[in-house]
Amino acid sequence: MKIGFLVRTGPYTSQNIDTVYELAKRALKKGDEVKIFLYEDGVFNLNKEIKSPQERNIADRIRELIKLGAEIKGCGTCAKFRGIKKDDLIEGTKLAGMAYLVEILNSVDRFLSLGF
Amino acid sequence: MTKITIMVRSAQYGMATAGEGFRAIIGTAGMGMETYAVLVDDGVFVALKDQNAEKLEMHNLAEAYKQISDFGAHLIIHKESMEKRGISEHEIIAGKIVDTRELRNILKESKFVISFI
Repeated sequence: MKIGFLVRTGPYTSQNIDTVYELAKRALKKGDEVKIFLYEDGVFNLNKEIKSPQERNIADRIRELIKLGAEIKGCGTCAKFRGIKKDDLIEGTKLAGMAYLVEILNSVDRFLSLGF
Repeated sequence: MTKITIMVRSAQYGMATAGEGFRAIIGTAGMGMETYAVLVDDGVFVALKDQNAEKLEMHNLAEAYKQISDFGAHLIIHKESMEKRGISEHEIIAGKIVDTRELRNILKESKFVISFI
């Protein structure tokens, strides 16, 4: 099965990315295909410098999903508005346009959008 | 053609929601999806005429939403949300006003629903 996720919130304020991590990890381990698009503040989840003293590290969770085979991209315009550059991104993730969201929508069996 | 509904449920300018919803609407419609842009709850304020966002140094979102039909998207405004907020059909820019029953049908027929709140 192919599963798509849209995440519109950043790390640590909302737990949407944690929910996606748990769902995506299980899906990938089952052999499903996972694509994730990070929109609006969601692009902050791709910051490779995330530090989380004695807490779960969202950047490490993203790295784990990449290692398991997830395709993860952030909205390029959203990143621009928030001062996030390509060099700030976790290795294996990329910035993309709205066309990527449409590509996900056109290719998945299930789609889950997580916002506020 | 894949049908998608993008619901905007927050008023413009206080949150980025309506603006980001607009970008998603243009993106999906521009890429050939049958896109329904639904203004519901406080989202109906987006459709009010005579907005002036200049002093906020932002785009006039009513004008932006008015143009989504140029991209092939359908602008839908929820009747009961308008009534609750005292907005009449003469005060809105454009779009089709639908009641809850019609809105339910649009949602039922959509393969995807993304809610911007």
